[in-house]
Amino acid sequence: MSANDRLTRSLPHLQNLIKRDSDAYREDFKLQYLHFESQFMELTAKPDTWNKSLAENISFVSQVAHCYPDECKGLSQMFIDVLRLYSTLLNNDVRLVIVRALILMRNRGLIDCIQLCELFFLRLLQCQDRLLRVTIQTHIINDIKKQNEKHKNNKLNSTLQNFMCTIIKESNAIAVKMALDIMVSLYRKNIWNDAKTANIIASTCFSKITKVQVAALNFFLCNNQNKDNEKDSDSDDDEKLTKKDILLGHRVGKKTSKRKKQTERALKALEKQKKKKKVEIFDYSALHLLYDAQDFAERLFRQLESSNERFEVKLLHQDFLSRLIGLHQLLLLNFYPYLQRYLQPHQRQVTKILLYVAQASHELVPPDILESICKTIANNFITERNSGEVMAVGLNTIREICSKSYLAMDQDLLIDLSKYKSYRDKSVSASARSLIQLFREKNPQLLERKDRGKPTEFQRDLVPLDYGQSKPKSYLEGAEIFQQDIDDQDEQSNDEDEQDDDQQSEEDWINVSNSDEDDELDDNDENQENGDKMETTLTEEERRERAITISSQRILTQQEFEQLKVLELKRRIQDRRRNRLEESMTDSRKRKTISIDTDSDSDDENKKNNADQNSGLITLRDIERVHKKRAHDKESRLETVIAGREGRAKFGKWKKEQGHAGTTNKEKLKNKNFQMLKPKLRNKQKRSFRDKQIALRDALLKDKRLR
Amino acid sequence: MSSKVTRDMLFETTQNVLTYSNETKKRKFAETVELQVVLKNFDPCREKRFSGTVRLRHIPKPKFTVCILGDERHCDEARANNIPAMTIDDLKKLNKDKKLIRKLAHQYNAFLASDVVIRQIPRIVGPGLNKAGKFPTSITHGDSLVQKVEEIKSTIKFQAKKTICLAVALGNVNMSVEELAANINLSVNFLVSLLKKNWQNVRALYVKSTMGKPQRLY
Repeated sequence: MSANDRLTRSLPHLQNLIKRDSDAYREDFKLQYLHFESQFMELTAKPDTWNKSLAENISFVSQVAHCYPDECKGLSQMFIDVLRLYSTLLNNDVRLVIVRALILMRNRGLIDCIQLCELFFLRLLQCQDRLLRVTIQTHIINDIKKQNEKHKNNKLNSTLQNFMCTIIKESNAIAVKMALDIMVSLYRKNIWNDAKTANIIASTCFSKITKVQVAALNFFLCNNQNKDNEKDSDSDDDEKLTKKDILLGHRVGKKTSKRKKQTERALKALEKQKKKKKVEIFDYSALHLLYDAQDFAERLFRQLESSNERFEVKLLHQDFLSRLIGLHQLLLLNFYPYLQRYLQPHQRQVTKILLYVAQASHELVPPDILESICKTIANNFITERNSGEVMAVGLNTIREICSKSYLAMDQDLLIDLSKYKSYRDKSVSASARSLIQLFREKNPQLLERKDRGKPTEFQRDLVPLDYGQSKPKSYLEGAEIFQQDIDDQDEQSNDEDEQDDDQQSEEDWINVSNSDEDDELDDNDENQENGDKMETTLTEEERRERAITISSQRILTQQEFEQLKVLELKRRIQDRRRNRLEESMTDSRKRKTISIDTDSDSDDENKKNNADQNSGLITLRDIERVHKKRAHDKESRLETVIAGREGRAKFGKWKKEQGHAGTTNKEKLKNKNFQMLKPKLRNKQKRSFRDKQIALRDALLKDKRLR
Repeated sequence: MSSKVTRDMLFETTQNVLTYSNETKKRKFAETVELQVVLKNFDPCREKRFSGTVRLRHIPKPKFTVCILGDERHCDEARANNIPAMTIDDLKKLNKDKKLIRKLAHQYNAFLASDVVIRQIPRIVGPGLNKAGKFPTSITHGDSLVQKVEEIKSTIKFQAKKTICLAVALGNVNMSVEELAANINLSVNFLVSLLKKNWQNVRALYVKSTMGKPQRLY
């Protein structure tokens, strides 16, 4: 017994020794193991008592089990059996110790993964012990992650996925939630990012348990991702002020109400900054992986229609459905009238619902449905009895819907709405203008003539497509300009040096902004003239023919594609009539040149834009953008003020500038007792008009002289 | 800068493809020639997936079948030209039955619908056609039906999927080298123009016939 005591007292010591040289301490271990076994037997008699030495023994045995595989053969089975039999009866701490021991042995590879998962899911989740559940969840995630570290372990993955699937189908709420959480986090970590996982998660959208439903919906909407990101960003920027710093600053020093206010203000500012910085990144991949999106959406919509859940949950449903519809271009015709019911200015979260309407609209929706939606929005939101913000929100929504499917608009409504461009509220007029701008690109025929903007070539060629119509091009837009240089391309490239080559890339008509040498300009202009001549000689038909031959004769180079992009931009910007005008003015070289950067800068901008736009996804910001944007913000206004001050004399008293000048009589008057001044002032007022005139003249003369 | 793919190279590859499937190992059917593309610097999860249609000069798939879903006039015209046609009543008979609609969608490669009919199609037929990716294209009475069918037949669609690879059929081995080369030229040009950074987004191009070996073009 004494030996035993000695060993128990120094269990960590023994553990250390065993790990260094297991064979030498085999006898010690056996002794200890016997002790452990006898104690463990006692546990079965009284499962709900806490025994410290037993806990120590358990952890000791599990730590060194891998050194004595023969002796500890039955150990894992012993643990598992106890957990299986007395799962809910066991003392919480003892149970946790045993679970940790099992996890340790699993990490050492002594137990099968699936066996353990089954035990955890089927037996241990009924226990009222949150710590235990958290431990189990993190263990399973880490375990699967480890299994897939070097290469995907497909066999294990599929069995585990099947297992999770069966768990999810059962009605045990806690187990379902945990399985879902595990799968979501594995998907987010790119470990289980296959279609099967996505579809199992999708199937939980129909769960009867609201919590599970919401978790699944949030997964597809990427709502929870932001939390993780926030955590990351907190740890990232060390230099900047963090919440902790502010709170720490408040803790030290005197606690006055002023300082309290200051800290609150600082915290608020920090929050604001964070919100600004956060760009919603929406991960499409899960939505793309669904097996049968149409069927799924229909089922989900049916559930939504008959659900009595809270409003927030319904909103999640709507959001998910609208994204699905927009992304897969599904036809779910009942969804639109359903949303239409909610389109009232006083509806809670109406901007979100408006966003969903816009998300759910796409080209294949029959135009009459979207038309009626647009009409409802126009009737409910865009009337003068509503406030400016409401009107602007409505206009923005209609714009977003029309940007997806411009057939939703009919002429009368558009003309009505475009009248708001000169509305007194600036946010409304800005929104109306953006709508007009959209239709200039999509279908200018619907607009009034004065709203169509300057006629560009792009507008001339634009033929708005009807519902379901498609006009596949048989050539590349603008490819006709390459005709000339098929043959003499090689010669040119031999002759000219690099700089000229660069210019060539931005060839015809486009002046590079930084080309300041005269010779180059001349070259360019010659090019331009050539181009213009060619343009004039070609009719529409010929141009098309030429484009067809070019684009099917050879494969174009990168530079040529860049040229095409520039050309396309130019066609959108440049006035068609001015083109005609310019042709007559080529000699005078007074043409307006467009400088377009085709460099990497613009590419970066594009990237930024894309990140903002979330690759075609509408954001809430697009619809809620109703604040008045001043032509100048404060900074730029200040700049102009400061620029205006330069080079002019300082305003103010001329006298003071010269230095030691005393106070004027007027200033002195201000400090005098009023009773002293009374007679003087009275006299001044009593003067005749003539006297006043004379006094004024004298004063002005004096002033002039002094200057 | 010279072109990424020279004309000679293109002709050589097309010739290779054709000789392999016409002479070296002739099969009992007309093999299709397809263009396979591997992209780079492109994340299909994050970036917007592009899609575009282009009309080729020569019809790539001669066995391509088109069905007309039309009003009376279009149906009459279609029957006169020996093109399968269905009226609205025929469609209503399907009764939104998913199986029947799927069968219909499988039967034909593409659909054309009169502009009057097409607005009702989502209601009458339901999402079945859309699901199969065969939502009809509209025709008006102004267009010639036969021409439109030809146009549909010679139109190919590029659509980026979940992966960075895509393939599109653009001809068959019964075509001459020049015809095939013209098709390849046009489709490559069009595809590259769809990409945001043009050639910088292309990792590789292959031309391959159904049973033949893939020939690397770029």
